[in-house]
Amino acid sequence: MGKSIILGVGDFGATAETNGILKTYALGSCVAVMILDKKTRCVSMAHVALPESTISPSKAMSLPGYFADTAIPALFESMKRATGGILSPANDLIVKMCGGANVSDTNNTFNIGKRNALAIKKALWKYGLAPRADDTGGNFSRTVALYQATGIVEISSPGKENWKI
Amino acid sequence: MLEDTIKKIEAQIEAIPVLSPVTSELLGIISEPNHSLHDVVAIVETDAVLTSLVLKTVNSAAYALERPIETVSDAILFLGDTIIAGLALRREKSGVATANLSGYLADADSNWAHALKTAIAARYFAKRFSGGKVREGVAYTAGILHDIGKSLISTLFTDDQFTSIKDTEFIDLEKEILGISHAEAGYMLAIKWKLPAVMCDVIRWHHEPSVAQDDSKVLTYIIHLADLTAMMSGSGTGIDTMRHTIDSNYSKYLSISDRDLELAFFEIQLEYNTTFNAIQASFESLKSYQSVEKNQ
Repeated sequence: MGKSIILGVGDFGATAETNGILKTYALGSCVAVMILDKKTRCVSMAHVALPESTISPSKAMSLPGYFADTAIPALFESMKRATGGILSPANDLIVKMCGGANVSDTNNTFNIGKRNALAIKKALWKYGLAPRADDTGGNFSRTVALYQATGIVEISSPGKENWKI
Repeated sequence: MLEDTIKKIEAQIEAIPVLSPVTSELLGIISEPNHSLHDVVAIVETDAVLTSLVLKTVNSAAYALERPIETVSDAILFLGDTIIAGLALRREKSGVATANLSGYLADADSNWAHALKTAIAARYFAKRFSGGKVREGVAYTAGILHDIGKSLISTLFTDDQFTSIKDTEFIDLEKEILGISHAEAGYMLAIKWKLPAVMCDVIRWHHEPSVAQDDSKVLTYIIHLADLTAMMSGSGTGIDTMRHTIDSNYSKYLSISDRDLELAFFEIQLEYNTTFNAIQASFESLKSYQSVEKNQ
């Protein structure tokens, strides 16, 4: 088992270390967006909590992983740092995402989970990327682990069997 | 079956220690609109352990002070008095905000984290969006206490009851399985503890705020919103996390826009990170001290 990096709300990180693991706990309406580089075998993850950094541009400078629009470029930078400056073109990148749950809401105003997931897809699209695997929505929390060795994402939720994407 | 459940809950309530006099007094003072810092300091200083917790919290690495704070009054000036209520409730022997919720598949840390984040969110909403109708200290205390019923019914669930969990409001599921919800069980304990009527009402109706009495309705909507905010931002209590319904009528009682709500999520999380780490450090330090003392 390699080194585990635990990411809190708004954190992001990358690892190219053999058997490294990126993990984040209890995603509610937050979304874990993960990028895997097929060539360098580097993997990254951001725990995104909100769709747009415009609500606090100054804070977004120091906490880019918190917002969908600033998290994607932050992930690219962290992957470059982990590989000594190498990041493959979009064709060699695989994106996975999960989380973005919503509480039941008849008026559909309290849907930050859904808006987070959409904002991430929009941000990815700017770079010619789209999620290969998407496990978002529902009304349950998710804990997520991404394994560098296989690129597999393991998801757990209280009262459910674990599943993988 | 319901009678059996009620009997079991009543027996647990009997066994739970009542709130300590210091905590009860603090909660009373903080809920007074015109209380002074001096009133809070005077109560804290009668309690050596609480004094130590307050000083360890304010001087923890989380606040990174340039010079240490040495007096209770300076500490309370810096931290605000609502957090003192949080510290007092966190160390209560009853453990209602720090119990292991095995029936919910949640540990003690998750229970406390949820209580603390709900309290911080409730104070935030009360301060900015209640139009001065709800005092911050009352909102904070209600946030810590809102789920006290979970520790009462947690042990009554059996392992197999959630294997094929239905996609229903969790409060309804609790009633279906046990005949009583955590909100109703919490209300029974709140009555036993002689908490103020408004607090009892909030604990009872925080998932159905429209039913609360008129004079506690705004606070109940605040706790309703704060509870779900905590769950959405990653601080839930296991299996019921996100399995609740938002009553959108909160907008009738709290003038809060979607954008306000997003900013609230962000600012509450930042405050929570600092406060959680500071309180955790002070309790860890107290635990080490007590264990050294025990071994001497």
